[in-house]
Amino acid sequence: MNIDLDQFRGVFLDEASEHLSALERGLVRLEEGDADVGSLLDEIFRSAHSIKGGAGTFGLDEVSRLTHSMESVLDVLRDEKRAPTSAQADLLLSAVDHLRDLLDGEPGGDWEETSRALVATIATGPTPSESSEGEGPAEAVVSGGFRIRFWPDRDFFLAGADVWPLIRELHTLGEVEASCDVRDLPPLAELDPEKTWLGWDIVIRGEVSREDLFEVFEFYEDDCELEIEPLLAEPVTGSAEAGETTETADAPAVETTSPPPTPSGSARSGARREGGSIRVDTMKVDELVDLAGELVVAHARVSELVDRFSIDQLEELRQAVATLSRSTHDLQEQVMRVRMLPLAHLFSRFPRLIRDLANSLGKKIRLEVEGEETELDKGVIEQLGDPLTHLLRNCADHGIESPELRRDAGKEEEGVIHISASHRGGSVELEIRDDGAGLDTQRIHAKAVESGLVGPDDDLADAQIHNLIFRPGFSTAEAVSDLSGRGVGMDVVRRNVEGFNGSITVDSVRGEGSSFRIRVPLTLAILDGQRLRVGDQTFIIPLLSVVESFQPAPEQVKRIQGRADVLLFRGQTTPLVNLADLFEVAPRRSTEPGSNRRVVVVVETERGLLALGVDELLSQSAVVIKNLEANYRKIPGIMGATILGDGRVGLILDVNEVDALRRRDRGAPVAASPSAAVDRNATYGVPTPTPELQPSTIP
Amino acid sequence: MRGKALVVDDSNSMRQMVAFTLAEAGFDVIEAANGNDALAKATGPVQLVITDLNMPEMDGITLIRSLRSRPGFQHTPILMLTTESQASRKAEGKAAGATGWIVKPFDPEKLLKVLDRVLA
Repeated sequence: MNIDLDQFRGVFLDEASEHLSALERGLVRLEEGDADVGSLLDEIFRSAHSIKGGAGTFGLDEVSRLTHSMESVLDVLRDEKRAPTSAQADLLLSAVDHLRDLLDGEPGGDWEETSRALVATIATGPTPSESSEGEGPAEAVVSGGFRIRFWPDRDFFLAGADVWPLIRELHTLGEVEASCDVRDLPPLAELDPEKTWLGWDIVIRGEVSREDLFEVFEFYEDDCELEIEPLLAEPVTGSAEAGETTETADAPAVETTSPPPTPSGSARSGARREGGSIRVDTMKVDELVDLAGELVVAHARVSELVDRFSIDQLEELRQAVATLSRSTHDLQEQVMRVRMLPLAHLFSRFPRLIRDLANSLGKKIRLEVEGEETELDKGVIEQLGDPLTHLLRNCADHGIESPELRRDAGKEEEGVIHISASHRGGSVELEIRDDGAGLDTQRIHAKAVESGLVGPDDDLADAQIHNLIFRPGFSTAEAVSDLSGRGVGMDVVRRNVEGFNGSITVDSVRGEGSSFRIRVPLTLAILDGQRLRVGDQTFIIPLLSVVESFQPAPEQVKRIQGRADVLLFRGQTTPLVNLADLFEVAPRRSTEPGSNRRVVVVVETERGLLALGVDELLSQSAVVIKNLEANYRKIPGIMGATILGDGRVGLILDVNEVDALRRRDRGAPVAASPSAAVDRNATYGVPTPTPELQPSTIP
Repeated sequence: MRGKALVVDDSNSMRQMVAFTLAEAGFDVIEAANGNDALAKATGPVQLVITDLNMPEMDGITLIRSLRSRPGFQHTPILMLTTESQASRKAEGKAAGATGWIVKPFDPEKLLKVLDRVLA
């Protein structure tokens, strides 16, 4: 039978990465020293052991060897019920890093060095991984065969053993002649049928090794007398074992540690699979099945009514449809929950991160985690990893002060970074807060002036200044250090977050600390949107980016140099773009309302505010995002599409791209045709351009 | 059909691989994630038990002992999933009533061979 286990590789890799997180978490907790060492070590050992067990099966030789070394150390610790020394903890943690790389199919660095160093931390004893692995004792293959004397104990059957399968297995190894020795057999009257009374004298011929034979009897070596000796006086030349004439089963069993099978072709270990999988709680699946059942029942009710419908059943039909839509909605919600994972998956790696950061920075930092059971879409969680890691590095590096400084400032020497997650309506809010030095408002302001982000005389509130750190081009050279620098600034964090329709803000009080808040949608598949009408088209704007929608007074809209419109909004000039012009949507002439009915929607883009001119505000609703590229093609300014209630397609705006389009078009006249220009002038009641306007303070 | 087999392992991948191999060999497989789970699921007679030793909640040795004390399980072949580094655990399992063992890394061919040995 050919059994291919490769289909389980993905399951194993997923599981191994969970085990690695558990290992890491456990090791950090051991170091904190507030846990039950014994049970924690048990858990850690089990994780390492599970990885090793699977790795061999999939030919991940390096992984099995490294986990073996980890096990050796953990085994000693477990016996002595003590936490690892800090050197051991460092080595074990770097072994975790190596394993992560190896399982990802990457080279894994100098894992062999780590492995050796790990084993070296065990004071006594041989180095199990190096000495035993890969070089088991050479098997003595004796041509000719063996004579086996096999005497099961009286209670052999009670041990659940049977003789026949053993002899049958010997048959697969060579030519067998077995004779039964009945000399112990009592008279029938005295015979206890539950006991074994027979002995066997077996001769086996062929290319068979002593090892093979021992293996057949290996489960029963304690329950029988066993002698295995070479059949012919033809010792294999050079083999020491051949000199022995008798070997009883009482002798120590020969432990062979054959190297794990390494299937050819998988020499590169790891080999991440494409796609990825989700493990779903069976409870969730059961609920899905229930809901699907309800849907079928509701549907049956509706179609039955429709089949023989009379008008007096209208109310009944209405109720049936209501039930149907409720079931549909429930099912939809439940399906979405399948993709939801607790944030614990992500948060679990942070204690280690903070530990390492604190050590390398010479600071004392405690990480507090809250709300790790909050569930988020798997895709969002994956994309949150980088920005959160970056923020944590920032807090540890720039936020928390050195123990001396903190003491001088009258604070506890140990700084605290607090990360929390909680539901806020249709989104999740994450907060990363530290009790460190806070943002240096003056320095940020100076830097922003220097790089031209703001004018030297602009009067900005502290909060506005703080949020300048998210602007592109604001990576201050001074702010870049070994840890949080790496050429990645806060603008990248912001872009990452906005990449999945999230938003980020910062609050900070000098001397007391900073707090970064990230708001993320629950899922990538559904978006809370504001629906808008432009001509005959419906567009959708992500609600998160909407600042305000209103009908502007005529004097709020100005035209600069006959080219671009601006909106006077909250005392500042904000670029205004008419969506009908940008996407060349024909106006709905006959029913177009008068100019005073036009509406602007002010949205926040990564480069500041932007006003969008639209014909009408429609309702706000959750929409299911469909990929436009997969179904049509990429359209600049559009992030995706959705199916509207009436079956038509609504396009979802990407406000950052819309802003980029506007900038690109700014050189050319905005209006594609004179009529459109006239239309727009009429729209906002702007008779003449107003060149005397000040340049905007926020570009 | 060769009857029911109970496979106990907290590692999903390992359990699924063993279960898959047994299913291919014609068993009706019951999967359990630890000793407690196994005791709850082994309601009727089974023809084979394969269990990991290191598991949370209830380990393999305790499970083997509990199963052996249950009516109908006295003679059921029980195999332990162990690694070569656990020689002492083998003896412990044997004392608890295990019939034999399968050495990890898991090799399906080896399992099938062992099955031939323990199933008459």
